[in-house]
Amino acid sequence: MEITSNQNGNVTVLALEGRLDYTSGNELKEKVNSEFEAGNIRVHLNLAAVDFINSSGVGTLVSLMKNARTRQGRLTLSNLAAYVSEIFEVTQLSHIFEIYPTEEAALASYESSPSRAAVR
Amino acid sequence: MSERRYSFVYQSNGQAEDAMFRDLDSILAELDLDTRTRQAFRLVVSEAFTNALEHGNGFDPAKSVYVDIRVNDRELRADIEDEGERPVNLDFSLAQPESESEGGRGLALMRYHADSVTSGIGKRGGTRVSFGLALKGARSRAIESIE
Repeated sequence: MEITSNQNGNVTVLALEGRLDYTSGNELKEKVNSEFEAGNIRVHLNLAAVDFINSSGVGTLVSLMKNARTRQGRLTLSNLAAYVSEIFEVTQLSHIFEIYPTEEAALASYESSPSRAAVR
Repeated sequence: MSERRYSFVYQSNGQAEDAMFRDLDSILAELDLDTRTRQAFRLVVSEAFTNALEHGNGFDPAKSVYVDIRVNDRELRADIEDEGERPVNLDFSLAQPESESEGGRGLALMRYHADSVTSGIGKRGGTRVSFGLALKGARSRAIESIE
């Protein structure tokens, strides 16, 4: 998986490309957790170019969401393809993540609620 | 009707997943599948494969995962087998784990996407997972060229 990082104000935006599975999930966990440890506790994941996710990838996202919450940070997701959205629905996880239709909408939410915890 | 069969063996290491997807995608590229069937088959193979690597073989590079795929003009079938020491009877119910659990969703996803899924003891003493997906009117270009 390719992970492209850029900073948008105090939000770290990671654009993911390819498969989110066991191997790439571990790579993503390493990347995001290193951002958290560096004090960048607001992380947005753009999944527009993620064409595959399995239960391992989903588990990675759950782990990162919980880690963000522990650090009083936020983890948001956007641009889920229909296939990926379906996986979230089948695994009944749509309600525990902050999912936005676009990156712009997600970033706007940080401006309006910068310190909101990453769980509803 | 003719059937095509593809068999692969993968060492249980960090490169296995990529190697499996390369082989699987090359097979699926030969087939005239609708997107949903293709995605479903990739997902179910991936779930069974990851379970074999992680839970069956414990990522022990001395152990292998065996993947056997069969295609005819009615269905896609696969058997995924590990070399674990204790074969496991898997529960393929659709029940989900506690919402913030980081694991435990793979079997339900397999059950949701496959038309049939079973587990048992493999030829090598580990766990074997077998599943099938019906092809909805699609035919293999390769099989058409044979007939």
